[in-house]
Amino acid sequence: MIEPNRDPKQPGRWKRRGLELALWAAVAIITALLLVYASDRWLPANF
Amino acid sequence: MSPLKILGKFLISVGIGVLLFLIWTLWGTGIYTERQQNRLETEFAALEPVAETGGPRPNFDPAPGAPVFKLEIPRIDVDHIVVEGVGVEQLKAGPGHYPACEDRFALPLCLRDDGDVFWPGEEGRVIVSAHRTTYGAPFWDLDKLKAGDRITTTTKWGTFEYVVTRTSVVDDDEPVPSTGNAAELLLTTCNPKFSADQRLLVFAELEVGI
Repeated sequence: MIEPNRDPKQPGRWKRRGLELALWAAVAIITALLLVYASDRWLPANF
Repeated sequence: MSPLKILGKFLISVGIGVLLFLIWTLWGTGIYTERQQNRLETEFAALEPVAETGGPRPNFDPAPGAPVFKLEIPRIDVDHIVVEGVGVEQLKAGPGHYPACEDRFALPLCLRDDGDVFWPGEEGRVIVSAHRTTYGAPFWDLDKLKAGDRITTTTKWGTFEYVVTRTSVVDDDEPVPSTGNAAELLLTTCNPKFSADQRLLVFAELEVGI
């Protein structure tokens, strides 16, 4: 059995998927950090 | 990849980000406050007692964020170290003691604007504010306090017991009537939960100093 990331028909496919996943994970983390920053600035202190 | 597919994945990622923010807000902030309280407990225990005066040292002026006294309310399981100041950073660590009545802390909560600060056991209004939600939510159940409930403040110059006299809900810009020079403790937080439209106020009078 040929492992997916060593499939000679699709070289680098899994690497690309990994990079894409990392990109979307970064978007999610940046969104969360922005919301934390915004809530510190604009939510009332004793909310 | 089509633009629609990219947009879809982007929106899913943003949604996961919002979810992470909610998890942090509802649970992560509580863990942060718990750690801060552990640190403050140690710092407070290390402070020198002020036995001879029966009150704070003259010119007692703790830095923002410094531990100032312990607040215990058995009815709602509150047992926290109160820090000086009610700014965003201070309230992350625990309940905050209102500093001198400067512009940003003017009415409704302050009685005077001459820079006087009142401490437990003294005549005047001692004001403590805390989060109703998030950051450990010390005052989550503040609305459950009723007249007659006891509040204990432990300072370095003595322990003072207050008894709840009344509770009130006011708009956030509504003045809170003065009670003169009564030795009073006022607890305040946002109302209703997850909103800052109003303030929930709990008034207590000094009963006894131990």
